[in-house]
Amino acid sequence: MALPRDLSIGFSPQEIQFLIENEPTRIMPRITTRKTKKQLAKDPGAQWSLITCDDSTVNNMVAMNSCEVTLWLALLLKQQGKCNVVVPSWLTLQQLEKYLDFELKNPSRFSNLPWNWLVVSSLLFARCSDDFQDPVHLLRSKVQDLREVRLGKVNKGLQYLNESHLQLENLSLMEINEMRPYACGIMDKLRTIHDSSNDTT
Amino acid sequence: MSIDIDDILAELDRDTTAVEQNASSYPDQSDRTQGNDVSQIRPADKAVDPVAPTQFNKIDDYQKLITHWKNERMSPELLPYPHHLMTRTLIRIQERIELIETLSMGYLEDNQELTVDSKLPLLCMEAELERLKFLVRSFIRCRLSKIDKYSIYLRQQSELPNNAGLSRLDLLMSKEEVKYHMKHSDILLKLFNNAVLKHLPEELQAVNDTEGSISMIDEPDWNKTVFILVCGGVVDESGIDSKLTTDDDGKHCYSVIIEDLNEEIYLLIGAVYVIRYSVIRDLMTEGRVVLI
Repeated sequence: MALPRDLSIGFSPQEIQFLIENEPTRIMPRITTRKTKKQLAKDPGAQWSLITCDDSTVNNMVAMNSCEVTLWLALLLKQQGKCNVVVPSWLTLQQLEKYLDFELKNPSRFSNLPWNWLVVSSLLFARCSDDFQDPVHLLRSKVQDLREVRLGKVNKGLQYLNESHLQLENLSLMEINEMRPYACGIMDKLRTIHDSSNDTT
Repeated sequence: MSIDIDDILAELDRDTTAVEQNASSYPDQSDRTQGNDVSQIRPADKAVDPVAPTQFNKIDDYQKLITHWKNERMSPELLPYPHHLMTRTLIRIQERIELIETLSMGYLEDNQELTVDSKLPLLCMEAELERLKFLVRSFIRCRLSKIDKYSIYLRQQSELPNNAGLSRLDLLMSKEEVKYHMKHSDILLKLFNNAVLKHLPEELQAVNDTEGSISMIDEPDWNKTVFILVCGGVVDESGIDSKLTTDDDGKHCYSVIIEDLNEEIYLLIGAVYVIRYSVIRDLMTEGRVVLI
């Protein structure tokens, strides 16, 4: 009642996004927030103060000098037209091509994409498509390819579920969350079967 | 049987107000026990006041709250309530709401200077406040749903002789949660009794029967499968993690044993595992692994 059933099984995609929005990202501000002491004394209200992340960087932004802020703040500033997001180095056609190559050559392993790649790429495509060097529709299709290849591997990997444990390598948070309900259900069942077969012998 | 449901029900049936009396007596006690450790420190020594928001790094606190939230969401049992952390967070939220109100009032007064630029910090502060509020809300909702689910179990646990009565519930839940738990389970039991149980034969009236094939007390599924991230980084005074061992390849890891299967597992630092909850429970409470 207090918590809907679907939320008690795992996180919702929005909650995963919430978690990842707390991670730092690099931006190129278009405004200068660094103030002289005189300006501060005149208008203390213009001072930024944040309670969940470091506010010294946002107080010392200088236009066109890159700095690091949390992702949610970057997206908010972007929405207001106050900054450009520096696209992470893995989110280029060239890099994605390499990852895809790795995925196709190693059918049993995952490439080491950052663990927030799905959320970050979809957020950046939607909110700051003008900051990309490469054409966004090509990037989008590469990301989609990567996603499908990896999804296939995840599904294939489900046959290795057992009653004891499993190590996952290089899976992103979103992908982990997607396989959670199924994997947990199966492993719980296998454990019950294992326990009861031990009881009878 | 440590909890005798007939006693509770008999007491409830006598008078409707018994529920309130019964429920309100618990928070009073909890006030005393829990109030001690908090309020005794406060006037004595300001430097170590655990609930003063200024004494603690706000960013660390936020990260800790996120970890608590993740663990709470994914663990099958109700985890201990982070009393000091939540007090600090709630004070911060309160101060933030007041600050935003004052600031926006200020902007209303001299609106000749009103530009989008000057509103920007305010906008961000509001967005941040909403994010923090969401986190706190979701955390509490998740806890409430578990309190509901395991209400009889929690009641029974708190009445075990070696747990010194209510002191354990105090550590496990906040004052408000204890109050809710008591009141809600009382009302629910009363409803069950009035609607169904009293019409049944006497030997079938208990709601905490464990004699049959299935126990009627919902206990957390200790062996539930969970996803964990091994983060490590917990060190003692000498700067060494005492639980850390090395595997065959010389990598740092924690070693855990699944007793049912007689199997030893090495949990590598930084890796993600799918494993049963009971095995990694201690590592999680120590902060060495995080549920994801």
